[in-house]
Order: sequence, then structure tokens, then C-alpha cells
Amino acid sequence: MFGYILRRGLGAVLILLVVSAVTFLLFYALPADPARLSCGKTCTPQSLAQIRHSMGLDRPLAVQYWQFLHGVFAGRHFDAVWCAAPCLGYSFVNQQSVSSTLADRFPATLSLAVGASVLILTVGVGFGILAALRRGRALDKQLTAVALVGASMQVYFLGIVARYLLVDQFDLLPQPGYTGITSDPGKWFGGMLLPWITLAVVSAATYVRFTRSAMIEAESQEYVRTARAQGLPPRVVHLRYAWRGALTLVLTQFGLDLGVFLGSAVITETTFNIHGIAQLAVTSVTNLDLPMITGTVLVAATFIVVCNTAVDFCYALIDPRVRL
Amino acid sequence: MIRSRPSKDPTVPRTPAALAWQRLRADRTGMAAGVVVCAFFLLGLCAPLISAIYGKNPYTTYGQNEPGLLDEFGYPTGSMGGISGRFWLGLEPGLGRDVFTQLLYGIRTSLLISAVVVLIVTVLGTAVGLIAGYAGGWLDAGLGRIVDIALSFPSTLFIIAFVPVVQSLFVSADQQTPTWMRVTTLVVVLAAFGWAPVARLLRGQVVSLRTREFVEAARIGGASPIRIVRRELLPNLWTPILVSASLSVPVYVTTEAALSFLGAGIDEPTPDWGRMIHRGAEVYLSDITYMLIPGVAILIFVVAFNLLGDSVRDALSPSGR
Amino acid sequence: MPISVSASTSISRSRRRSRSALAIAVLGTLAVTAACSSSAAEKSGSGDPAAAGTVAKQAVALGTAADSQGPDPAVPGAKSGGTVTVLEQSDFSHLDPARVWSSANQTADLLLTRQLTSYQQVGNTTKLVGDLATDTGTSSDGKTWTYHLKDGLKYEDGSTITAQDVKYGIERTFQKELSGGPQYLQMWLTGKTDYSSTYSGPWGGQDLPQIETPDAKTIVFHLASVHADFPFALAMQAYSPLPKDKDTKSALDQHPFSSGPYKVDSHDVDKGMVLSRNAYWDPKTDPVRHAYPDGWTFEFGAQAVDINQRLIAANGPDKDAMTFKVTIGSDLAAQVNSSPDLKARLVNEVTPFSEFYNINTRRVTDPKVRQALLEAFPRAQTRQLLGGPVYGDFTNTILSPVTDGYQNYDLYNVPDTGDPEKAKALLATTSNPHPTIVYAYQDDTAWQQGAVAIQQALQKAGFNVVTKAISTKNYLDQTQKVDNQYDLYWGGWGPDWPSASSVIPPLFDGRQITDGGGNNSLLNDPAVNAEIDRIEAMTDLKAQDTAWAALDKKIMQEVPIIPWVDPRQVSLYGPGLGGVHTGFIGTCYPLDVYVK
Repeated sequence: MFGYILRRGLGAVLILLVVSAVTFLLFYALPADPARLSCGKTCTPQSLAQIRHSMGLDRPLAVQYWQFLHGVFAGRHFDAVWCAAPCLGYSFVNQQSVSSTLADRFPATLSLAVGASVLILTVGVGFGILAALRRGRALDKQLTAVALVGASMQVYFLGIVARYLLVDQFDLLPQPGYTGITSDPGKWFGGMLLPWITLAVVSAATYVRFTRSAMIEAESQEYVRTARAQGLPPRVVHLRYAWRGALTLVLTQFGLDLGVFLGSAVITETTFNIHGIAQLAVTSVTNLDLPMITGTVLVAATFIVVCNTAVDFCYALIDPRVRL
Repeated sequence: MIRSRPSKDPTVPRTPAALAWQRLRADRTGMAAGVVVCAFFLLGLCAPLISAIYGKNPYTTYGQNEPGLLDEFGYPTGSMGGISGRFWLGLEPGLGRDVFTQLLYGIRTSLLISAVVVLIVTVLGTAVGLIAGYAGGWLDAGLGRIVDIALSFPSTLFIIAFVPVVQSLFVSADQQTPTWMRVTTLVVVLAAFGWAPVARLLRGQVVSLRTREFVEAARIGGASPIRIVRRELLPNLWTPILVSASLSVPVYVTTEAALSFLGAGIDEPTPDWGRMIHRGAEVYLSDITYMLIPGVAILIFVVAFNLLGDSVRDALSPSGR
Repeated sequence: MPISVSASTSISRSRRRSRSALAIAVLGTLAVTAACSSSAAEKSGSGDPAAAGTVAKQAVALGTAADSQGPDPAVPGAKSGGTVTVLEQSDFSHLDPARVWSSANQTADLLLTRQLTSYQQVGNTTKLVGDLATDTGTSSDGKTWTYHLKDGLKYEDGSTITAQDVKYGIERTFQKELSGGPQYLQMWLTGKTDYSSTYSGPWGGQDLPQIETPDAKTIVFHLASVHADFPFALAMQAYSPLPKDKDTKSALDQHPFSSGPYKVDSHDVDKGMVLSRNAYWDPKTDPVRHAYPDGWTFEFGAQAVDINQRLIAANGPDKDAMTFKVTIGSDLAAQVNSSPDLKARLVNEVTPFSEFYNINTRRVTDPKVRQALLEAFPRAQTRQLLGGPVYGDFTNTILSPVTDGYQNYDLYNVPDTGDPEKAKALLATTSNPHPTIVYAYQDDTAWQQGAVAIQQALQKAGFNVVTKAISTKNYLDQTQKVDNQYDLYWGGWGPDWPSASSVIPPLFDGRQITDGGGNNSLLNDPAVNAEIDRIEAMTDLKAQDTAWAALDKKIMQEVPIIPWVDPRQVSLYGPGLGGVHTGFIGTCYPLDVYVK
């Protein structure tokens, strides 16, 4: 077990190294001048040269990458500014280190992810089980149909239509937006409500379909059939046995989805104007803020790799055969 | 051994394809969805013809050329976004272009990009999956790692960040960025991330087929690897390939729209659904119609395509439900 | 002057400003504007007095020593107390006075700094008066200017503001590290455009000999040449006092040392800022500032649409909320127009800015082709895409109506929608009736659509049009390059004071062409340059104003720009506030605001 975790963990680190190297290479090796991009509009030749030097752009690419890695683990200097580890670079557009900006933005994205996940899992899995229990009956068909439409919805469309109806027209929900949970919990909750609901409608549908088929699949497994043969009431069979089997699959799916959440949050954060990490990525592109772009891409990649690895670990815990 | 496809019932003389078609025909939802999907393709293909008959095009700024169609703030004067007998789906706020023809031509943009991307990722993914799955060993391990890495990139973020950079590489300052260039960039970046899941899926299928008797038999019979892949493996992979391809078309249609929504998609003046929604999101308070029309169009398209995909899968592998 | 461009639907007009009161009070509310937009009156441009009386033209006079005494005449109905919330899309890019030049930053620094001179706005009258100084300055030859400080001037820590501090504040503007501010005084004192070769700032310990401070309350400036409008230049926030021992260098930008009525309590960059009273500021010394609210709370980071929704809803503390910069777009104009409640709390005034399209005169060398561009240009169509009447009033002149000496004229008499046939006829008389024009625009929705409209309109006249998107962030950088590869690009300007000498020389003096400079049409006409020199040497402000207006018309004969609009500041504010109007900077003016 320990060996497996070690192997898998090392693999994850390796993947991250490659991802960071490729990102770094693609963005920094291009003819577009990152210093020029970072210099902003009041750019003088002196400040350009200075930025070029402090970004380390006057050195070979491999050295730059090494400095970048070194900064991640040990911190580094950008001129007078000390950027503490984990240093993902320094944004000359914002005059702020990338990691502190990311840390700033993280709570918004986290709020989005946590609230939406709770809704998605309860609604999605709940209705999925319901549909499986009523398999083939009217409720199952209705739920399946609704789930199909829901899964075909787009956040950028549903979100704005919902906002128009629920907020602007009928005033049922507060204006969406992020407020720190510590500064005003009520406002935080109110502002996040619409984004959560929108995400839940769009994503829960997938979980309804997924849970339903996982349940049905599990029911054909031998242990469930054994349970049923022992004369246990169908409800107990469903909830105690079939559901267990389905749970693993649902959680696996959830782990993978969580990994790519940061990427998909771009749309949600843009639609609802939530200043999270994903929106930061979009503004950095608009601002051509290269260090910030690479920073957000790397954080998002780390997220994916960590989640995937975590899913693998859980699998290994549950099913020892995987470790082979 | 001419055909070694595993058949559920070898006594029935009809080919599996014919059987699948028969099952699909019997699925009414699937057929209805198929009709809708075909209608979208037809509308896209015939867009120039339809707009010629309808007498308008998606580029002319009717609202700006003719006083009275838009109010002084740029919104259609009629109710419901200016829907009228003359402008069937109303006018675009601001420029006052015809929404109906924009939607029609938008279908072409979306479908063209998605179809090309799906083609590329399917071919590429299948090739990588076949090689990895069949060859095994270090080649499998190496390709597996590359797939792992490709799947670890946050593709949406990466594409948004990368499109403008690629763009600036190839277009000089006093040239207009040609539309084909923008389309190519989008296709390339979308395909760059899209092949990996297909490859992973196909590899799994190949690995499980590799040890089956008919493949073993062919190998012992001295068939070359290429022959085995072509004659033994590929025919058994059509189902997963088709299902994955049909389910990815709506995924790429919505992804392309999302990129345009975020400003990294197709430029003016090429009609595009995502950009219509982007603009709709800016004016939704005053003209929700302009937001609803492309949004509902995408929704219908995606629902129909998903239903069709489900039906195709059911028809091809009836036990899979 | 720096203009900045935002990624939102419209350009944020962040340059600076000018005067004011002209910025006048609008008469009309949106209904009036809307009505006039369809009338013939507006077609003829903003200068038509019938056009909703868009601008009550009024010169900004120099106030007397009596005018310069505090306190500022009270705003009727105003009372002290309360806290005002200010909602902005982004944080102020600079607060360090030496780096302050954009209108948003200047507006913030109104609360935090004082200058030797400043503008006093009472009703519709604006005067330049002594602020720290007892008057607007005395000079016998227009080159040597003497000022005396008032008594009782204090910083936020209670220490006294001295003449040496004023000198140090101006010396800091020479420091290369403190980029972003205006360069007028630096150039006038040294007589050089690359002034830092003469003096590189105080951090290295050097002294600027052109400013003398014989005692703590007297300051004497020795300019290299005559500048009759020197007292106006001194009113810029960049030329604020700072004690040498309070110079925290780059940290001052987040947390300036206040000489104004408020001080910074906390500043969380990009998120928020809290100001409270500077207990040592004495209103009796200050003829231009009221400080009715006890404090100011700034919130940064929301989008314009959300800020406007909050101002409309006016829930809780938003009752006392306002914005310096955020304007309502066309999406809200109709809603605001139909609601008496909203109309009652709307600022709708013409700003001192002007927006135009530069024609690159180095690439489009034939004046006839440039004139054809002007005639074919879809001014109304492009304005409509940005909000129509709420975006601004059409103009045909270089100078804005809020400039002293402004004269209205319309040289070419084309409709606002353009006249492609007239342009075509003109092009037919040139060597190439189908010239190719490269139009560069900012890559966001409104300007992308504008590009479509411009392309179509110019094509009708026979031009081949290449449209070129530039990322919003890079737009000004790219179009302000001397060797840019574009023929037509948007530009904007805000005079730094209500005189054409802060408009025409920076925009059209061929010797001032530099990367990032203001002359983006790259016009370099020896006759224009000579006339600029002649006018600048005048010591009589009135005669100068008249001469500038004549030069305005003369330059337009060469069509270096296509005049477009004088933008409006149309902003909502909470029902709990009074005294909200635009100021000489062109933004919503905080110094008369009170909580009801």
C-alpha cells in the first residue's frame, strides 16, 4: 500500500513538472515579449529593461525555468521585492506576487465549489437513487428527461436567464456576487445562491443519470442478488447494498469533476462576476499579464492532478487489486 | 476465418449494422432527435439559399441604415427584440443586423468547427489508443503518460490564454486576422486537448480485445499487426468510436460557444452563436429576446444530439442500457 | 495625456480634465437629451445652443485674493456627518500625487491633497483661486511666479505645510521611478522635454535651483519661458506638497500623506479603502473644499452593471453610495428615463473630455483622402453602439465647449450618419479612388461592433477597409507609437486646465511627436508649429484664448482627426446623498457631497 502511494505520488509530481515546463515553454518561448506584456501602458525603455532583468528574461530559457522552480520551493527576489515560497512569479501589471493574488481570490472559487458540490451531490444523487428505485415508471422517465435537458443547459445561458427572472424581474434572489464569508455571512450566502443553483441544475443532471445507471448496474451484482435472495426487503437491499456499490462510482466521478472545476468555473465566474481564480485567469489574459496567466494555469493543473491522485488513492484503499 | 466479429446470434443472417439500424428505427425518441439534428445540418448547409429567399443577410446593419428600426439607445423599437414579419427573429441591438440569418450562419460556424475537431480527435485518439493498446509494453506506458499529461492541463484556461498568443504569432500589425486563421487556431487548440480522452477510451477497449480468442487466433495464424488491427480490432471498435464521436459534437459546439462567450472565439463579423450570447448577456436587461434566441437554439441542438447519441448507443449495443 | 481604456463596454475616459463648471449642468435629463438626439438641433453638433442647452459656456476666471480666502461658500441644504460609499470598477491606479494624472486618481486625490491653486465651484461659476497660496500668483513677465502660503495649513499629523514641502513635492515629479504624472512644470522649469537630463529628482540629494523658497511661506518659480497659464498648471494634483521625511517612496502610492480634508485609514489594494477626517485640516483656510461626510468607504472590483444595479436598489448603506466614474450604459438609459425616482438621482453632464478618431497623417498624406474619411465616417452609428445620447454630444471642433475661448464651427457640414456619396465624389478627384485604410480598434464587444459599422460605412464611399483588433490593454500603446501601421484609430483627450494650451500643443505640435505622446495623428505642419509658438509667447490669457480658437479651425482644414463626441458623465447615486454633480475633472465631484 505504502509503495503504491509513493509510486503514484511521485508520478503526480512528475506530471506536474512536465505540465509546468510545457506551460512555461509555450508562453515564455514565444516571440511575444513577456516583459513588454508585463510592462503596462506607461512603459519606458528603462522600466522595460528593468522588468526584463527582474523577470530573468535576459537569461536562457532553461535557467529561467530553473529559477521559476526554485522560486516555487524557496521563494525568490524580483528586484527589491521578495516573493516568498511558493512563488509563482510576480505580476508587474498588478505590482503583486502571483501567489498572494491567487490566495486572495481563492476563497471565492472555494465558496463556489463547496456550495455547488453540496447541492449537486444531494440533488443529483438523491434524484438518481429515486429514479433507480422507480426504474421504468413515470417518475423515472420524467426525472431522466429533466436530467437530459438540465445536462444540455449551459451556465452562460441558464445563469443569465435565471438572473433576469429571479433577480431582475421578480426580485426573489439577491444580486449574485462574492462577499467574504467572514465579513458578512448573510451577504455571502445570498450572493452565492444563484451561482450555486445554476451550477447545480447544469451539473446535477449528470449525477442523476450517473447514479441511476450505477445503481442499476450494482443491482445486477452478485452481492446484491444474494442479499435479495436472503429475503431482505427491497428497500433495504437498495439502500444498504446497491447504493454502496454505486457510491464508489459516484465519488470517483465527483473527484474527477472537482479536479476540472477550476477550468469550468471560468464561465460561472464570468457570468456572475465572481472574482475567483478562474476570472483572474481571464482578466490576466485581457491584461496580457503573463506571470499571472502561467500562475493560474499551473494552479488549475495542480488541482486536476491532486484530485485525480486522490481518487486513485481512494480506489486503492477500497479495492486492493488496483495496487498491483 | 473471414469475419471474426463476435455476434450475439450467428444464426441471424443480417449484419450487425442492419440490426442496429432496425433498432434505431424502432426508437421514436431517437428518430425524432435525429430529424432535429438533420434539420440543423440542413439549415446550416442551406443558409445562403434560405437567406436569399428570405431576402436578408447576416451582415447588413438594417437597424443603422434605416431610421426607426432602433431607438436612440440602439435597441429594437418593436416589442420582443423587434420580431416582425420582416425580421422573423428580430434585430440585433446596436448594429441592427438580422437575427434570423445570424442564427442560420451561426449554425455553420459552430458545426463546421465542431465537426472538424471531432474528426481530428477521433482519428488521432483512435490511432493513439490502438497503438498503445495493441503494442503494449513501453510504448503503451509512454503514450499513457502523455495522455495523463494532456489530461492534466486545464484546457479551458489554457485555450483562452493561448488563442491570442497564437494569433499574434501569425498575423502582422497591418493585416486583418483572416477568419480561416481564427477558425484554424480554435480547431487546433481544441483538438490538442480533445484527443487524449478518446485515446484513453480506445486503449481500454483494445486491451480487452487483444486477449480475445479471435485476435489470438489471427496472430497465431501469422497475420501482420496491421492486418490484425484493420481486420480484427477496428471492426469491433466502431461502436465506442461512433458513440464517443456523436456525444462529442454537442460538447464541442458548446465549448466553442463558451470560448466566444469569453471572448476567445470567432471574431466579428462572422456570425457565431457564442458571440451572440456574449452580446446578449450585455443587453439582457433591455432586450432578453436577443439572449434567448441563440441560447434556446443551442439548447435544442444539444438535447437533440444527446438523445440521438443515447439512441445510437442503445442501438449499437442493446445490452448496455 | 494618458487616456486609458477599459475592457468594459466603453472606454473609460481616464485622462484628465479640465474645468468645469462648464461642465455644466445639465440641463436636461435623459428625456431632454433623448428628445434632442433625434432633432435637427443635435445633428448640427453640440455647439448648437438649441441642442438641449448642452453646455452653458463659461470661462474660468482667475479669482482674487479675497476669493482665495476660506471657507468655501456652503452648499445650500448641506449638513455634516455620515459616511459615503463609493463604488468603482477598479482601484485607483495611483494615489501618490506625483503619479496622479488620470481623472479617477485625481478625483480621489481631491480628498487627500491640496495645491497652491485650485478651482472653486459655486453654482455654475468656476474660478481659479489660491488654495494653499493666498492668491493665484503674481508675475511681472510670465516667467517668474511668486506665491505666499496661508497661515494654519496642516498635514494629517498636525505638522505645518511649508514652502519647502511644496518644492519637494514638485521635485519628486522629476523622479523617474514615479512615472505616470503630468510633465508640464518639469518641462517649463527646465525648458526641456527630457527634463530629467537637467534634474533627476530629490532622492539622489540634488536640489532644483529653479524653485526658490526664501522662507517657510514664500515660493518663487523661475520658468524657462513665458507661461501665462502657469497658475492653472499648479492646480494639478501632481504638484501637491510633501514633507521630505514623509516620503515613503513607492509605498506612498497606496497610502499618501494627507494635506487634504481626509486621510487614509486603511487601503486594501484592489478591494477597498477607508478615509476618515483629517482633524488638522482647517476649513477656514480652504476656499475650494467642503468636507461634509465624516468618512468615505471605497469598494473596488465590481463590474459597471453590478454597480449600477446596487445604486438603483440603494439597499442599506448603498443609500449613501455614489461612483466617481461608472456611467450608466444604454442598457439602463431607458429604465432610468422612465423612472422619476432614478431621474431624480442622476448626474448627466458633459465632461471636459473629447473623443475623436485620429487619422495617421504620415500614412494618409493626401488631405482630400482624410476629408473623405471624415465625410464618410459613421459618427452616429458608432456613438449608438456605445449608448447613443448618454455617451456624449457630437462635436465638430478640436476644442471642447468647456475650454476658454471655444468657438463653434462646422467646416464640412456632413450629417452625423456620414455622407458616403460626398466622400466618394471627393475620392474620385484623387489619384486613387479606392485607398486602403487600416482601422485599429480595441478588442471588446462594443468596439468590435463599431469596427463593423465603420468598415461598412467607409466601404460605401469606396475605401478598402482592413480592421485590426488590438487587445484593450495594449490599444493605446500600439496606436501611440510613432511608427504604428494603422491609418485610423480612436483617441481621446482631456484638457488639463480650461485653456487650449493644454489641448492644441500636445495634440498637434509636430515637435512633440513621441511614442506614447498625445500627437497621434502625427501632424507636423511648420505653420501650425509656428503659430503655437506665437500664441504661447502671449502674456494676455484672453488674447491667447481667441488665437487658439482660430488655430483650432485652421488645423481642422487639414483633417488630422475626425471629431466625434464630447462624452457625458451620466451616473446614478444613492437617494441619501445631496450635492452630487460633476466637477472640473469630469467625474462625479466629491467635495460638495453630503449625506442627507
